[in-house]
Amino acid sequence: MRNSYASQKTPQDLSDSLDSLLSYVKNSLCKNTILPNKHGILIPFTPQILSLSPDFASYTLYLKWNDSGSVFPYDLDASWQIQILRKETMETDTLVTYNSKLTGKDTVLSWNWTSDMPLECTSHYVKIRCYINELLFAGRKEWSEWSPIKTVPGNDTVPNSAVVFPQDKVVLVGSNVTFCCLYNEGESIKFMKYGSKDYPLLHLSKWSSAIKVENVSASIPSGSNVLCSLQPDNIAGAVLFVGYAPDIPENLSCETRTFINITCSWNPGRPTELYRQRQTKYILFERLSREKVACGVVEMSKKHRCDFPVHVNQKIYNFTLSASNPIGQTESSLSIDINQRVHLETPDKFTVSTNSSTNAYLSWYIPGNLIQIRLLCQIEISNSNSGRQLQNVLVTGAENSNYRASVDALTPYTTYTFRVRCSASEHFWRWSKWSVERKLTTLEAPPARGPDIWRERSPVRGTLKIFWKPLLLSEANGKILAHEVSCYLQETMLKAHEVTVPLNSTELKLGGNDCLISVVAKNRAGSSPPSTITSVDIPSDNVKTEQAIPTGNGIYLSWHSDPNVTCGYTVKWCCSTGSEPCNVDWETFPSNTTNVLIKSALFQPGVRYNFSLYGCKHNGYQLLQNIVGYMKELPPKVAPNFTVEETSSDSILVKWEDIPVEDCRGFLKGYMLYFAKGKRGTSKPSYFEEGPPEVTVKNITDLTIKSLRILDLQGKTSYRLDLQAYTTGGMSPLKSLYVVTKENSVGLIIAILIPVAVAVVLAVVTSILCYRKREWIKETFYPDIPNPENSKALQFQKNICEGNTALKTLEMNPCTPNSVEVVEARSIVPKIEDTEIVSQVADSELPEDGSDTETENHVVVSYCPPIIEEEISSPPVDEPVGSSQVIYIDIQSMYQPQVKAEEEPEINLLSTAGYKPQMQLSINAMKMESQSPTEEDLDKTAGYRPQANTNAWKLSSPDSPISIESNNENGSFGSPCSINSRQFLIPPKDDEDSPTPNNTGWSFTNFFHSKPND
Amino acid sequence: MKEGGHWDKGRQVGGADLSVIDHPPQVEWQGLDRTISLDSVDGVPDATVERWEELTAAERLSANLQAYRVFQALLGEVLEKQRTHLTPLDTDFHASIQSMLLQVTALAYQLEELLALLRHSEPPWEAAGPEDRDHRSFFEMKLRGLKVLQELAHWTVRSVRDLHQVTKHSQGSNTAYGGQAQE
Repeated sequence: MRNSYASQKTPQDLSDSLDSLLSYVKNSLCKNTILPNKHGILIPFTPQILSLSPDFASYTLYLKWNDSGSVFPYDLDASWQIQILRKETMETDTLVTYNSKLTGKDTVLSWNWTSDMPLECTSHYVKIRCYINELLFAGRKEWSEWSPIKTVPGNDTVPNSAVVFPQDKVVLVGSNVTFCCLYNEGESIKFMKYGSKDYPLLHLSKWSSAIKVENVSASIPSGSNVLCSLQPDNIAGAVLFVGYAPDIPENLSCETRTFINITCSWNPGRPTELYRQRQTKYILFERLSREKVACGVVEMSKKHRCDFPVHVNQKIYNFTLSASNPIGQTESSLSIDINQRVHLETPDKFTVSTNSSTNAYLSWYIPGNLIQIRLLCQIEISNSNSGRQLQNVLVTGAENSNYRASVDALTPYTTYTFRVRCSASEHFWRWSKWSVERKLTTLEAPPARGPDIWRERSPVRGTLKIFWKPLLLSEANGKILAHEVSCYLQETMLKAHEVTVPLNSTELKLGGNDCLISVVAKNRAGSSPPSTITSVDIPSDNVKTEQAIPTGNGIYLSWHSDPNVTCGYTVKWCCSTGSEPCNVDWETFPSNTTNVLIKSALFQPGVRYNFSLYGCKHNGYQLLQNIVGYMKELPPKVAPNFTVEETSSDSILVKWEDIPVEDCRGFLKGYMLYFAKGKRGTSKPSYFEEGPPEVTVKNITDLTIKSLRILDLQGKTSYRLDLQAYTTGGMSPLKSLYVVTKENSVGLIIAILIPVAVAVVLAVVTSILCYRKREWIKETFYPDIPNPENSKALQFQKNICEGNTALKTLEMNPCTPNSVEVVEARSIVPKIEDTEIVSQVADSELPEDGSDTETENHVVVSYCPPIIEEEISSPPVDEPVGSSQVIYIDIQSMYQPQVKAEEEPEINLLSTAGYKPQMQLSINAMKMESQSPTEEDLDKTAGYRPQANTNAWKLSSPDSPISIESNNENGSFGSPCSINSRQFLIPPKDDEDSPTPNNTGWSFTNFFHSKPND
Repeated sequence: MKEGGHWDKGRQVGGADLSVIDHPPQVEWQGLDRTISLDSVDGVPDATVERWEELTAAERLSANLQAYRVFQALLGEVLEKQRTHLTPLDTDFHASIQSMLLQVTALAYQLEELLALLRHSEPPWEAAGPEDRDHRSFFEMKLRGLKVLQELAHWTVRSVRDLHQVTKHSQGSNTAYGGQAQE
């Protein structure tokens, strides 16, 4: 506009126009216009507000004013500044600029503004000013004066009861909401709460305060409360509902069921959290008919529905579904051809009927005006035997009508279940729901065929037993009531009688005749075709028994083809259940069959079945073969019974018995015999724990063998024997026996006799050798004792034997025999031999003996070398001094004399008897004189005195009869000195006249000494 | 969402459910704190009375009967508001109010019977029930519902005392009457 204006005007024109404008401004436009100087200042007129109207519900102010455009002859751009003030203090809340174009005529401009708080909360003030944006004007352009203020008074200006704004407002979740509380003079505000939370107060005016709640969350169905508590005791409040705008309706779908209504359904989407008056309202609008329907929906349902009426002659419907609530509005559209959206109602009043054995008639009702469509209906026929069949029928639509169909090719006397559903045939949309189910049983028909029959000669002569199998339900065509059995001889009926169910066998007395037997099954509808069989049996010889092959699910039989068999083979068997007599069963096969798999629900694993194979020949039936078999072989049920017949030291004879057939549970293949060393009581035989090396296994596969001798066993040994039978199905349980082999007596005898004989022979040889070499032995081990008189070794000298510790017994000391006096006192005490010096002390040391020491002469037997009592220091006074200085000790007994001074008289007596060794006590007459015999001395004199330094020896035996008081003088028996001296003291052999020592002690020497005497 | 008061089928006095006043103060009733002042709500019979001891049996029974007649109307109003506006989905809460309304009706009937038995005149039906303004804000509806239930609870307590008092008096008068008869 401006460009065209500029292009059309010449500079002169422009100058004229400006002048004109100025003159207008100056003269006519506004009296308020200020034009201060000649350069020109463009100050537009002061605008006037025509109206300011509030909409309290939407917090909106509507402002109207006149732009006075008519004062300008041409278009001009104008700007308007609008200022909104509020609160008591008239604070500027908003300042906006509104641009418009002055078009040369007066135009009322309008502008609206929405407040963030209810307009009731406080007064709102509006003023406006103008600015003319004339580009060609070179002078200064300024805003006009502000218009007079227009006011929208708040409710806080007049005293009223306390109240909170906004009341009952509905807002979107997440909004910011300002609440104000108005109160009266004399009241003051204590607090304001939203929900349970206090908010800071914003002072609006003397009687108005506000709070600002940001980002409000969804409220409970009864709304969130705003509470304003006032001083003194008063409250005001409001409820805020916070929710969501409605979602766009999802999955909008429309269809008709009856051609009366179109039902549209949809999913409302997210719940709005708003209820009742605030809940979403749905309106279904059809654009072609321009008809709308308000939809009443159940708030909480997940699927909403709405019905729209079908219009006659209208096929296409363009639907718009709008959803709205106080927060927002959405919509969804759908266009449909009603004939393509037919979803029929569920067929009702469904009935089925029949008047034959193969047909059924069905009828059902479907509501609705279906004249304009054809119906495709689906009939479901289900039967426990044949399963489920579907049959489609086409029917012409009608208005609220019954529809009919028939079903044929049904099986007689069978119960069927029918149901039906329908849809529009031309434009399939959806099937209706299935109708209820109806059952129907077709009528009976005569049995389709005659029963399978078999016959058997009974043991009773002349009687034929006839068996037949019940017909299958599908063959019986009804309930079989009876079977008619007849016997024909060349088309002449000999006998006939009827057998009612459930019997499936009968007997005919033929009396030796043969005939053709006919069996007919009968039901209410009629009789079956007859089944015939001849009664003739062809004799057979040499019938073999074969074994069948178990297959797990049946029994496999095979046979050799017989060219004479013309009318098939029949396999007959008998299944026994428990104690009842077995049920005869049979199967017939064509003549070219040579193997069959017989299956029966009655077959059980591990049970033996006997089959008979008959061949049907032109003149009768002949038994061809017997077959035994198992459906499945199992391990034998029991262990074979076995016993030990005979045992020897190295063998066992074992015998066993056959397992009964019913316990075999399979074809017996053999026996396993295990034997190993083992004793009763051990938990397991060793061969199970220690493996094969310990056990011997014998597999007996020859079933005719019933005994076995086990060889190469050890005598007197316990063996464990285990026997088990086995079939292809597995091993039977074990049966165990413990056997102890017999002892090997010859070996034992030999084992005892040989050592004894060897011992005897050795003893004899030794005796002979010893006897022959006795001289040598004696000389070697017991040489002659030299004569003590000639022995220098025994010429002890006191000074030598006592003083020199290094002195050896065998040293030939220069003892002069002259100094030894041998006193022979044998005559005085001739009976005492091998004596010992007995003293009181010795007696007192052996009290256990209990013998009378006073009167009895002790003969103490002990190993003791001869001792030379060096100091027999105190002979009794009455002892004849010097009469006897030498003590003789039995050299053979090697006793140690225990010398005591008090016993000196007796000693003397004793010492005079028996053997006198070549010892000399150096008589110390001087001592006897000088020393009075004290007890100490006496003690000292007692005991053994070796011929050497006694200090070097130690006690060798605790039995030594040594006085405790005698300290160092006491010696030990068995000193080397004594032993060596004994060798010298053995008397020579030829001293047989010497007194034989009567020694109670045992001495090895006695053996040799006494031997010659023996 | 269940947001109604918790209506225990617990202690009952004079046929009314007292569970309302048994609630601790922190329990909220549709978002309202129990400590809130309900003085601004009018039209609900007040259980408090001056010189309670001096009331006659007839006055006591009449006051009770009149109060429960008003409560019948008030409870019906509360139930309608709750169903229509405030708690449309909380059917359990509505059933509780309905149950209480039946009990209040039964109690009023029994009070009428008692008045007749004691040969006192029945107070007239007050034609104008509680003021039912066409439009109340939701906040006012909530406050009113709370006030009705609270005052009903107070009235049940008062009724127990009143009936005790009436029983005591009637026993006393019966005794006196019996004594006189014996004389």
